[in-house]
Amino acid sequence: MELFNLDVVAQYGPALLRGLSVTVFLTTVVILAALVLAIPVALIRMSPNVVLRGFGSFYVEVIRGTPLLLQLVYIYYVLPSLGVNLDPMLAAIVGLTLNYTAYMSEVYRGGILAVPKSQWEAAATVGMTKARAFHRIVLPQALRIVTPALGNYFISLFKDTALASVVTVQELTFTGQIISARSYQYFTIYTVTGILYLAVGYPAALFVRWLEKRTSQAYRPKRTT
Amino acid sequence: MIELLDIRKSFGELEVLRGITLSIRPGEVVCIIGPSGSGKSTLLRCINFLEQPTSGRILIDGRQAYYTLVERAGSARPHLAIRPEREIAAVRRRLGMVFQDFALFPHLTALGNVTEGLVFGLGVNRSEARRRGLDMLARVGLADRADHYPDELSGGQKQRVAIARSLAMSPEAMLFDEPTSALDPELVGEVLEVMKKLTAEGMTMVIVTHEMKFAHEVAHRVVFLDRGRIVEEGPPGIVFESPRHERTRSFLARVMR
Repeated sequence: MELFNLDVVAQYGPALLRGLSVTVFLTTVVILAALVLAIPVALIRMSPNVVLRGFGSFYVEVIRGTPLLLQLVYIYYVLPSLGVNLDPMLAAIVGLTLNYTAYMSEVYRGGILAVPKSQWEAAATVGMTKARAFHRIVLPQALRIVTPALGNYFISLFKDTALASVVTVQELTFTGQIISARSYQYFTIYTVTGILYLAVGYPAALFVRWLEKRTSQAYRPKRTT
Repeated sequence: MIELLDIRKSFGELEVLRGITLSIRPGEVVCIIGPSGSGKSTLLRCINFLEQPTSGRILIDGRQAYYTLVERAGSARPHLAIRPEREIAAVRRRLGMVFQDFALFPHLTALGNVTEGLVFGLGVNRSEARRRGLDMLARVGLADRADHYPDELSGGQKQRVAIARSLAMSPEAMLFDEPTSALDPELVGEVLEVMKKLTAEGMTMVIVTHEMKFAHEVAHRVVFLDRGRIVEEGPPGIVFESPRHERTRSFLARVMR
């Protein structure tokens, strides 16, 4: 029996592809949720209200100070004893979203602070309220600043979804584990698993690099002349 | 009519403004001059509440612009509180402001910079804002730059867009914070030209500036500020040509070589 077995690939390929689709689904849901939720968290972290700010800091520091693996395990295995039962997929989505929201809120916070104070002031002098100024003037500029960093989180999330296997979500890594344990075809199965990650992860990385390049350019019109 | 009454402002230990009383009449052009660190910019920024004075009153048309009396539960006397954000925004709309570093919105075109406040500050509809915006750009001689981003404009052009942005709001007065200080010398003229046109149209203007020749030419009144106090004020002919105070004389001797 050769090391890399094409019959095995043919037999278990569909299962691995299903695993990949779960991984992609998980990544997509979590990144979209975190991209949105991290903005209010960033604002809470900068709030003039001490209680609110303290609450935000507590959340971010707890997440940053503990392993993601533990957070997932905690949500899936510990919360039920407090009466909160989440199915594996939901537990993974909640855990990963809580984790990535915390990290990404810090990125947003940095981006918002990097927009010069005079932008807020200029918006105020043309009669905009703070909320309007944030939405129309500061946020668009901050988004541009944070795009490269958020892109990197996107790439790392794609791989971190493998941790959802500890809460029994049958994403790509977990599927690979199950199949290779059943078939003893470790080399083939894990090689294909790796290739599948790369097949999605590499184009995603190229996309992020393209975004990075685009956002590092000056604001330019889409003029044709 | 803008009235500043005994305005004081401290940043921590440092008292930057030490009791400034000044009124600006409608149509008047007031130039504020003085050495750096004298509090000129801070004073200007107090007028539209970008800086919150430590004490003193700011009246616009006889009314406290940024504070209001509110009843306090359990207290016989009402106390002064900062007005709600919307009311402050409404006051600021009446006062245009031009910054030293332009503070244009880099993610918007020249036209977008001008219409942004109209749409999202005043609530003008987009087509009307566009019409007015193009009008304003034409007024500062930049009609052909409407779709250029700030990055593609020279310093002088940027500052003219900033002036158009303020003018679009139809302000009752314009505040200029060293509008030409960040410009290359050869670009100063075009900005001053636009400002001169405004004075000719009767705009009320408060201008913090180092351009003494310009101040001499356009100001109805020159205010010399030093160490947080008004040392001397009067018509430019008098302040520039026969200043009464030693500090004014030595300042002018330094800047008018």
